[in-house]
Amino acid sequence: MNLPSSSTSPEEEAQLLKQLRQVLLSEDREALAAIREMLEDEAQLSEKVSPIIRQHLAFLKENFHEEYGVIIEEIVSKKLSESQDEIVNMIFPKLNTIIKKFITAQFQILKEGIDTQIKTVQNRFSPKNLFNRFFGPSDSDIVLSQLDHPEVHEVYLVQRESGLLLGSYAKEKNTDQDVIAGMLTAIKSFAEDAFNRGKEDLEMIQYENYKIFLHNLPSYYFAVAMTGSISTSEKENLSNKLITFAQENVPFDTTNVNSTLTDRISTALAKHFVHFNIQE
Amino acid sequence: MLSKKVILTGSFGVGKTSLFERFINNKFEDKYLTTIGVKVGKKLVNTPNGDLSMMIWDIAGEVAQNKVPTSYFLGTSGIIYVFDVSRPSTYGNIAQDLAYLKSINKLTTIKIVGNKKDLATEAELKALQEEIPLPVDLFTSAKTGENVEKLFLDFATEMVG
Ligand SMILES: Nc1nc2c(ncn2[C@@H]2O[C@H](COP(=O)(O)OP(=O)(O)OP(=O)(O)O)[C@@H](O)[C@H]2O)c(=O)[nH]1
Ligand SMILES: [Mg+2]
Repeated sequence: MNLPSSSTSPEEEAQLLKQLRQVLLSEDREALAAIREMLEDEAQLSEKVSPIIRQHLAFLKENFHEEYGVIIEEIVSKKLSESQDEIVNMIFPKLNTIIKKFITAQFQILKEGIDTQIKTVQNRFSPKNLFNRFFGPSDSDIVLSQLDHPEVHEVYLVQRESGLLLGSYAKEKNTDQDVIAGMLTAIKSFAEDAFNRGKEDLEMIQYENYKIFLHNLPSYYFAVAMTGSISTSEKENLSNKLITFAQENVPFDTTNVNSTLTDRISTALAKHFVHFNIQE
Repeated sequence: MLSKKVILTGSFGVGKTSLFERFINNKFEDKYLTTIGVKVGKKLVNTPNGDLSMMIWDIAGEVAQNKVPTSYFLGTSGIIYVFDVSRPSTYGNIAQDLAYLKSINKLTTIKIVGNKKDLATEAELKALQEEIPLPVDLFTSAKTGENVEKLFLDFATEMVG
């Protein structure tokens, strides 16, 4: 192509420009056609776009929390607080069963532990063991007495229904015995309600090193906090002691609880239990 | 001095534990820690009729009172039925609940208390009282402490007298 000289006429110039445009833009036109074709053909389009989407998805997977965590958290916590009632309604019945299951499982573990120890004793055929098997204390008594000696630390006399304290004795001055009496009664009610619907009385509560032995009478009960293990015969000694105490020191009518009554019973409890030896 | 048992009951989250803590320890906690089982507390109250050692049972809330173990109510001299003025679901059952409580505790005095008073205006409380089929004895706020002392003191006075 000859470059136009400066003396070209306007017609020639227009013609030249047209040619130039064709040369310069024909490539673009082809490219445009190709793009249009690609956009209209699904397979081609997906081939191009898929890797990009895939890459972006992978990125999101890795960085979702950073990118959107705050927003999602906001939405969730807003939803949660809006439907607090429903959630609590849903969780509550479950909680109850979970607690019951847990307690049952713990009891099972405790029982299995004792059973294994009883088996160990039965396997030892010393003459003493044989003698004990026929004439002496029961197997579980032996196992229990091998652990440690029982000692009475505190005695409570509690009105059965209300959980009000009728009197108490403690080796070491204790903080709030009224509150303990109430809590014991609540635990007792809960356990009796949950496990046998009140047909039987709860007899023992274990708490860390403490065992709380419960002795029930019609309108009140004794709670004796002890450390160590108590055998059946020692339990009997204790029960007899408590019954005697009740006969001698507790009035028939204990409906109205006042400090005159509780002071009197507490003094009597101290007198009876300060030197009490459960093994005699 | 006399000893008496009082029980706080009602639906969950209405502020039973908060009223208990406000009255016994003069504390308030914004966080909600639901009660499991029972918590028993004691407060010595001086009333014009004589002194009283009040044993207060704060029990776990239940949507309906017939779900509460009946043994908790045994030997109680007073029941405080608490609802939350800001949550209608906590007073929707009030008529059935009160009928039930009366049926199992014939001789016990029952007080109806609308708690979280700080979350409602006086006008709203008035409207609420009209909506509820039973007279509300007192509106309280465990948060600000308003009427909490009065609630327990009035009750103690009645019980001693
Ligand atoms: N604004 C306001 N909030 C309160 C008041 N009383 C209690 N709350 C709040 O309400 C929530 C529940 O209070 P709790 O005292 O635990 O309720 P509860 O009745 O003992 O609940 P359960 O033990 O589950 O039956 C807590 O977050 C408290 O901070 C009040 O007077 N005003
Ligand atoms: Mg509570």
